[in-house]
Amino acid sequence: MKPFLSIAHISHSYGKTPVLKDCGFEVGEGELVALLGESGSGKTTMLRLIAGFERPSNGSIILQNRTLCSPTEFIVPERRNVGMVFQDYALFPHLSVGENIAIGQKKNASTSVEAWLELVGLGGLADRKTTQISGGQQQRVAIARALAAEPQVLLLDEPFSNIDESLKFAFRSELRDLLLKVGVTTIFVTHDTKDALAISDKIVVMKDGEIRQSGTPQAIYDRPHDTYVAGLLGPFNTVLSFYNGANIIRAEHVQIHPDGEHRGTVLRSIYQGGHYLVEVRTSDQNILMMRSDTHPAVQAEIQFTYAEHNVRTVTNR
Amino acid sequence: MQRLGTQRLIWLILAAAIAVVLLAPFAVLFSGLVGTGSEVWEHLKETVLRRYITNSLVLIFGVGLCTLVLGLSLALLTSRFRFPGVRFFKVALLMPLALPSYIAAYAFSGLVGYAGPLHLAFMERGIEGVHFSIMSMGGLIAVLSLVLYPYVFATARVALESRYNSYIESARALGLSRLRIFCKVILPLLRPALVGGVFLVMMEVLNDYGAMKYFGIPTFTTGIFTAWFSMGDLNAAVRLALLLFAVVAVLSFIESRVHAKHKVHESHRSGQLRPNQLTGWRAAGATGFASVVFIIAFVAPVAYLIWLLGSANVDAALAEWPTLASNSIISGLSGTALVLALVLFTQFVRLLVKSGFSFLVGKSISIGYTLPGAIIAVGVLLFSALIDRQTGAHLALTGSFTMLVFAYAIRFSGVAYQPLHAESEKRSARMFEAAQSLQQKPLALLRKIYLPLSIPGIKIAAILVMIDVLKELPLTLILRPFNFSTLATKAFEYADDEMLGRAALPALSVILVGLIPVLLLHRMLKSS
Repeated sequence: MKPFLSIAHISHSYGKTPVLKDCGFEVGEGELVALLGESGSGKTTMLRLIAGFERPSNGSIILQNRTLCSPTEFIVPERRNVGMVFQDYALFPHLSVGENIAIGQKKNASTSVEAWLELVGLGGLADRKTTQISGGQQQRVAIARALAAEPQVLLLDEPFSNIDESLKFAFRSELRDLLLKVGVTTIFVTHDTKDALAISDKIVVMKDGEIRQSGTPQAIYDRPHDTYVAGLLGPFNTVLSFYNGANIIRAEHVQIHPDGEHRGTVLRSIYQGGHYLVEVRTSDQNILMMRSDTHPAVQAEIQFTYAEHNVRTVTNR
Repeated sequence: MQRLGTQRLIWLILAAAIAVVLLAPFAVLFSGLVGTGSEVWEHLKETVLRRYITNSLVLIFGVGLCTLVLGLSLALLTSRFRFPGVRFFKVALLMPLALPSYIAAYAFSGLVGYAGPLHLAFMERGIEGVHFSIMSMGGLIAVLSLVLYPYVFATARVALESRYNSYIESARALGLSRLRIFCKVILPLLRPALVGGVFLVMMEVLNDYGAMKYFGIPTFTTGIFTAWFSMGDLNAAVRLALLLFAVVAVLSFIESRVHAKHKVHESHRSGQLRPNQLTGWRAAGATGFASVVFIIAFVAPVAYLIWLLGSANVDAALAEWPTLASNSIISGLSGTALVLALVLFTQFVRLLVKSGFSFLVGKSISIGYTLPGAIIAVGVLLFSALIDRQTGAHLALTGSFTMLVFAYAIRFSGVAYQPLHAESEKRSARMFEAAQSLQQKPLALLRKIYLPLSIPGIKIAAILVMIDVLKELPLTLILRPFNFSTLATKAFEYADDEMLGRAALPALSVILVGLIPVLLLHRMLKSS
């Protein structure tokens, strides 16, 4: 089956600085995809290219048989049918909440402004000024505004970056439910692995303008291709390193066990809430991290074990 | 660019056309260099050119140095110290900016001159001989410095009050003495602001015509007028204008280099630094110094003009006032409308088509502001004469109101560029993108998003341009239609004919409107 949105061989630079190098990935209809990477990885630039605010120096973006851009074609943003929610929301200050949502609505729109507001939990606020509502409410208005234009693809730039840690958990699920209900294909950008793991159908890991790996959250976590991707998704141990690669194992797959076949000394243990992450120097001077439900004393001699089938081979990058 | 889409291409071409038309007079001006100089030019070159050059240089550096000392010391005093009246002086010391230099020139010289109120008051008490002639190079430097120092005062204050607090605070935390903080921290940090302020002052000096003419100091600007009006030789005027252009270009280059080299990372606003409270004789000294500057630079000339008003034929002055005022307002409104339309349009296209070219188009129409009015006037004159010749219409454009307004657009688009460009910075740019992703077509973007979002900038730009046009002298003098006088030209003409009394009412009117941007500036300084 042909993918809904296909991004192929995209390269882009600002002036002489290259920001994207030969990037490609695919998005299925209705999927929720996370672009995961640290700042400067090029993930926001990727969103802006899909939205049409920038024109790539090479490569193509195809949405359902429609070429949005290629070396010979370019569709301007307002004709792409791609919606975008900005990190600072970019609500129009001279328009009310309701007018903000109405501005992009199609003439024969089936869902009313009020219905959109209800859907994002802001019923009755249509007449407010955008400055009279809280930051969280502004974000909901921005999402409703983008959805009301009935885009084929919705882009969200760092949707969780302005949310308090304590509210994030609930908001993630809420956003996921909303997008499922509307059924819109969505790509969001985040630097927080937890966001990406929690709600996305697919994660695309970016680093220095390249796509390092893409796949389901489980696949990326469980079978990282390289050390960067492995480290981005969680702490890991190098069991054996060799030329241009290593055998690694995740910390939670190593258990402290009285009958464990390996021995070591506890260097420190870091409380993680509910469990400890324990740093151990092994008898062959390697340093390993492992999870423990109890609190081993520093300098304690311990034994530990891990299963060979949890060891993965990755390349060094 | 070929893949912009036809709609955007049309917008871009329109914007580029605007820029081309606005820049055309400069191209014509430069083409005037081709060919040999006229006899008048050769004559000028042999006789007075050297004097023009030295006088212009002495003036810009003399005034630059005086405004630097005066502006910096007043900025330090009002921003780092507290003394009686300091809040009043923060506004009051900006007010001399409202005095156009050509009005200040005759007000100051009249004030201390033989027929001035000072001399008359002393004579009544039987004291003779208390009158001076300040019609000299030194006098001109003093007069221009008194009305131009606020440029340095304002730029230095912005830097002192808001930008570098954390640097000063950390210097304090390191235990540096006040003097060392001043020499080692404040002064180096202020350098770009000071250079910027002095640059503005120098540009104003080069733009001046009225004061130099009144004081009889021959410079480039007065030379351009002499060549054109007295000798009727455009060729010589063009060559002088181009020389002046070269001076401006060199100064701009130096300014931009200093700016780039000393770019200081602005610290986050770390709250206002508490100014030091002055007491006793120090406080009295501070208040006294600020009062003396304010009184000499603003109160005295304005009071003198009011005094003149009482001694003059008020009925005659009042009779012509409505015509002068309406002429001023008509040219002001026309100029403002054209400037706003051109700048808004090119800035909109700049947002619509993000490319180096569209940025250049938007930026290029603002360069007229750094050029003296006399240069622009000569350029526009040549340009309109060229079109008239091409179309065979005798004096259809030359000397027409249309060309005057066109010249205002060239000269003052830069004034509107600043506030409107600021509006189109990051935040608005994202709003613009948001609207595009909501499928708004260019015309809807312009109508529903760009113009409403630009309203605050439009208001400021409109006020600033309007007032600049009302105060403008050299350009209006050269380009105005026959028998068309504004408040500014009439104030200058009467003063130039030594009819000081008649000049007072139009002069006071110009000063009064000139106070509006000063108060605006004060509000901007307070909020930044």
